[in-house]
This record gives sequence, C-alpha cells and structure tokens, in this order.
Amino acid sequence: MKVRLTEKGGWTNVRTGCTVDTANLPAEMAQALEDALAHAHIFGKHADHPNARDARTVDIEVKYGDCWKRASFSEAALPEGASEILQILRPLCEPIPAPRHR
Amino acid sequence: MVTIGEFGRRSGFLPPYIVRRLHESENASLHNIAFDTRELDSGARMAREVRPARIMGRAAMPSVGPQRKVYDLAGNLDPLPGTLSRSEKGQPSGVEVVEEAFEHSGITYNFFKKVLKRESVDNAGHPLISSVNYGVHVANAFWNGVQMVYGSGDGHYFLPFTKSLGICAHEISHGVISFTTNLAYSEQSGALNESFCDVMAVSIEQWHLKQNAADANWALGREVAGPGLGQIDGFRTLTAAKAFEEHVFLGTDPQPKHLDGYDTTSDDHGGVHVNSGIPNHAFYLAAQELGGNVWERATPIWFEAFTGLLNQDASFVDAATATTLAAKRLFSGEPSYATAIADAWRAVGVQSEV
Ligand SMILES: [Zn+2]
Repeated sequence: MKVRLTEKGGWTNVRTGCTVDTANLPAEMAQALEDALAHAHIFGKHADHPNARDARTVDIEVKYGDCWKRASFSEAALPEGASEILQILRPLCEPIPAPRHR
Repeated sequence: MVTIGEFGRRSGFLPPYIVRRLHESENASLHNIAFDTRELDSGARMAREVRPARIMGRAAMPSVGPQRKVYDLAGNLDPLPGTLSRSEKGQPSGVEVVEEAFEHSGITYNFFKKVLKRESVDNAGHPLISSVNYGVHVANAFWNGVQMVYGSGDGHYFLPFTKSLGICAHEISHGVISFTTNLAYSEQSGALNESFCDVMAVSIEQWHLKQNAADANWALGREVAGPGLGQIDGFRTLTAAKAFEEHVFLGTDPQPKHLDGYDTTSDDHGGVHVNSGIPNHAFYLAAQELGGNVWERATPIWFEAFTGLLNQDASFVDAATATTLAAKRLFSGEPSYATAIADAWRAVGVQSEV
C-alpha cells in the first residue's frame, strides 16, 4: 500500500511531505500504519477550524489499486484517527520545494 | 497641523466605514473628527456593510501583569492543552521549550502593555496559554482561537518553534486581531491578518533588541531553521529581497513585494502567507522613511489602523487608507508621516483613498 502525506501553509509556509510504500517499511511500522488507516475516518468532508490561524492543511493520499484517494483537513481540526497516522508519517517527512512563483 | 477632518475635506471624502469607526470611538477627539467628516460625506458612499465596532477601550487598563501558562504535550497531539508545566507563580520547569514559550510570551505581553497600552490579547488580561511539544516532528506553530500551540520540529530541518520570539509574537498578535477587527482569514483580508502579525513580530524583536529601523534584520523565523536547511536568513523578510532563492529544500521565497505579483492561488486560504509580502513590504518602506525606532512611529500607526479602523473584510486599499488616516491622527504635528505611508503603499501598487 502506498501512502502520501503532504502538509501545506502554516507559519513557515514550507511544504513538507513523504510518500511511503508499506512493503518497504519495517514490518511493525507498516502494520501500525495499515491499522491506523483502517480505523481512521479521514475521508469525506471535514469542517475547518474557523478560528485557527497558521494551521497547516494536511493531505493524506492512499493508493488503492490504481487509484489514489485523498483526505484533506486542517491540522487544528483532526478527524478521528488522523493523529495515529500523522505520528507515524511525520518523522518520515522532508521539506518539498514549492513550485516557483512569479 | 492638518486634522483628519480637514484632510478629508481636502481630498473629497473619507471611506464611510472609517468614518463610522471614528464616530464610534470612545476617544473624544476622534469622535469630533468623525462628526466633522460625516457632515461632508452626506452618506453618499455608504454602500459597504459596516460591522459593529470592536474597538476596545484605548484608555490604559490597570495592569494585572501577564497571566502565562505553559503546558507540555510530551509528543502527543491531544488532548490540548496537556500537562501544566509552568505558570506565573511557579518555579522554572527545567524544560527548555517550556521556558522559551514562557519567556517569549512575557516579552510580547510587555511590548503590548508598555508600547501599545494593551492589556493582553483582549485588553482585559486574557491568559496567554501555550502548549509545547505538540506531536512528533511537527514543524509549525499556530493559534487555535484560544491559545498557542508549538511543534518541536524534527531537530534536523526544523528546530522547536518556541525558539523564535517573532513566532510567539506573531501568534499572540493573531489573538489581538481576533479580539479587535477580526480580519477574515482569506484572500486580501487574510493576507492583512498575516501581515499585521508579521509587523508586530518584527516590531517586538526590534524593541527587544533595541534596534532601529535602519539597523534591524527584517527577516523572520531564522531561529527555527535547523542544520539540514543550512544558513538561511529566515522564512520571509519584509525587505525587497527574497529570504531564500533556489534552495534545495525550500525553492525560492514566493512572497511578492508588489501588487503585480499577487498570487491568486486557492491554497492556504487564498495565499495568506504569500500575499502578506505586499503589505509587509509597505510597512518596511514606511518604517525606513519614518526612520528611528519602529515602535515609536510606524508600529503604533499600523496598530491603530489594523485593530481599530478596518472592517473584517478589508482590502489592501482599505489598509492603505486606514494607516494613512491613523498617521494623521497619531502624528498630527508630522504631516510628512501620512505622506510617507501613502507613498509606501503606492510603491507596492496600492493607492490610499485619502
Ligand atoms: Zn499567522
């Protein structure tokens, strides 16, 4: 299973992220990630946190078969089960250069 | 000396929402100026929606002192706020990130109290609550509407966000805006919200370091750049320069310094952290022209305009107009200040309406 985490915005406005294939992760971490994804309710529409400032937008994409499915939410309003996924994936993230603007 | 009323008469009009704000002010001289100006305008420009004034009393509050509390989440993401680690009357915790959050909150509180006569974010002594060690490898800090939340970074690319006075000052300033004009967090008003917090952040850093506008470093966030990012001056700067260019991990600083470069992205609430570069640079240009210490000249003008005169959905033009008017009001004996501010906005492509 392939999983991608991307976080955008926030105080630095630096994009960070990682893409992992559970087949290449240590078995214990792969199992924990698959379990966390199975139990989480991250897909679907999530209310933003109306009063949060500088909170990043979190995108979690999971590849099922040939299709990527994306969940998107504010880090200040985590949907149920998102914490466990983030705690596993964030240590694998690096900054990603943003596309050049004008 | 040119009063705001006289200025409005010469230039033809004052924007109606600013007339209303002036009229609603508890300050007697402001009230009279507004009344004078309102007669001129005859309600001809009352198209905009005007929300109830959120101007907090400008009279000095009796000081209750800072009410700081720092909680430690110990790497958890919830539940906020975590375990209390340091409070106003407590002993030092011995935890570096806890003490940094405590110290920087105190400096920020003192700046608002001593320089801008504001008693915490709500002008009524609202506690300054911080939660540190938020999650693992979290490279961010945010204001959640009630309190500050700090990640500790990954130690390689990002260091703990508590290390930066500017970041703490920025987050507390979001609290100040939420209790005053409550600028909507999207598009131009969102970029103004971000810009106000950056303006207060550089002002508080310069005040703390006793640096004047000419000598100061106008970049923000360098303290949280870890060794993996190499030497960077900050994540953004209010000067005309790019904070970083063609950086292997960061790319090129995307902030425009002129309205021509306004980014129409839908990301990040309409690019609030990108387009804030435009009003940020207007503040920098104004501060350079006014000279001296920002906290004695440009900063009080920006504070007055952004917390007292703007509407929730203010545009860059509204901010240019409000800061120009605030300069007239606060520095009536120095008419060149208002001119310098209008010129600074014009230089970034924004024309004041007065
Ligand atoms: Zn902000």
